[in-house]
Amino acid sequence: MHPPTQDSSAQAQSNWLALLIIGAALLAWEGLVRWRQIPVYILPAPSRIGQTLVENGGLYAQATAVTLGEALLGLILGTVTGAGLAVLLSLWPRLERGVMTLAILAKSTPLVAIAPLLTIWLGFGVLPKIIITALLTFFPVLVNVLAGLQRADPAMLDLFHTWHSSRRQIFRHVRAPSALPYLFTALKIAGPLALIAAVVAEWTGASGGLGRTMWLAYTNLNLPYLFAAIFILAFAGVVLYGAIVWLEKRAVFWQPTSNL
Amino acid sequence: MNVTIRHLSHQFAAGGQPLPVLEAVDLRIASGEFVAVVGPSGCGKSTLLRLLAHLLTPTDGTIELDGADPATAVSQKRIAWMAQNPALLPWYTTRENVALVQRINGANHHTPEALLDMVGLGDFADAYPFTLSGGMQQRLALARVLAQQASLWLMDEPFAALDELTRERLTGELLALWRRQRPTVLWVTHHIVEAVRLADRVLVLSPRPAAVLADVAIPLPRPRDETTAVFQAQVRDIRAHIRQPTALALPKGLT
Repeated sequence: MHPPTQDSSAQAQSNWLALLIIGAALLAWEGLVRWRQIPVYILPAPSRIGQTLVENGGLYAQATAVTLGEALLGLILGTVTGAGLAVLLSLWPRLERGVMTLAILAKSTPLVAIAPLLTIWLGFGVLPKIIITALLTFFPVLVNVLAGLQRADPAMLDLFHTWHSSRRQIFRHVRAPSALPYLFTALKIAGPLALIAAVVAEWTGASGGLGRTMWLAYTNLNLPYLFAAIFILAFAGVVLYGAIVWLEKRAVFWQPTSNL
Repeated sequence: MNVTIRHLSHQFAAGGQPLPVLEAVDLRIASGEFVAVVGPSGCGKSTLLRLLAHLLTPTDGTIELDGADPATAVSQKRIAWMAQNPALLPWYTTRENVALVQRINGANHHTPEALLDMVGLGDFADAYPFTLSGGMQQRLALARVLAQQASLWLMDEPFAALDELTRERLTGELLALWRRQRPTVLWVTHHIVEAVRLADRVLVLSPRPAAVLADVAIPLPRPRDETTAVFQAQVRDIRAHIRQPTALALPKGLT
């Protein structure tokens, strides 16, 4: 493989710059809280949030594992469903209107309306969270992968027709690889969305997870607890996104991709 | 492959209006002949090739390829197609690109490596197409044509996007391959000198809707020398055929 070479020193430099900006923001935050003596139930200082994280490490680790598990399983279920539907629609275009109407309906029903229902039906376990996450993430995957399958290079399709190749061969060698970059575009949207979906689903009733921790902290006005969960979520979002970009570079090696 | 075209017409539907592209083309090409097709741009040269490759179905007229219709010839995998866009599969290496054609076509008289050798890409079997230059990409497309063992090569300006030097080298190599394998070749080009250098016959098409304006035999011995007077006379002859209808189509008062 010959992935497009990138200027790795420029890359490292921009990473350092990002860390520097985050560090400066945290420092300013800390300074503001100490200088104005802002009470902890309004805005806790980063040092206080860090202290909470360290002191309750075990609790947060467990909650993070639950939420990340729900988000990832939901994302996988949503991706498989979305991509599967896209393949189906590309093979039988006549289904497109019906399935897309249903998909838009499922997608535009507000999450806060479905989440309590699913909790009532399926209980406080992880299953309703996975389903809600899947419901929220399948749509961008469906739309993007379908576009990728349909927008295969006409010159390639011409060539395969002159070879008298079967639909299966065209799908395998042209349409599916053409849709791969589109799948990753969808995952970059659906990945962060999965984390949000899992957390919001937990608010409607859960036996564990970061969303539940946040909800408990909120009802007790325990802001350091709440912020600690937010910090973890933000960090998890960045890591998840980075993982998707890392995968994309290796899977779609024939296309130059940005680092975003 | 013998090609017989009778009264072939084709029209596209352009915004509800029928747009005639080909008008009553009659044509016979003998097996093993190299025929160049020239004509003003947009006149329907590519449409003619697409009809032969069964990428389009004609509105009127018949095409016989060794007595069969294009659909049958395609299903028997006897037609090779090459265009200006090489349409290489970027997710496969050059070897995989060639091997795929062989797998689909069921033709494997040569190894993919041997075919890559024939087009001078022997050292690039593991390279991906996007790492190759434009000329090398067309060489790979040519290796795929060779892999098919087809008896009719339909080539739609395959080297038009290349620089002059690369283009001359590649057309020379293509001629050598043609003389070795003797397929029937239909070569669309807008490059008249190239047409005279390559072809046994040059068909001059009129502006759209295209009809065959002239069918010029090129009886020059090969290899052909472009500097000779006879060669240049042939080129002038074809240029004259192309210019004629344009002059006629001009509005009154203009010359």
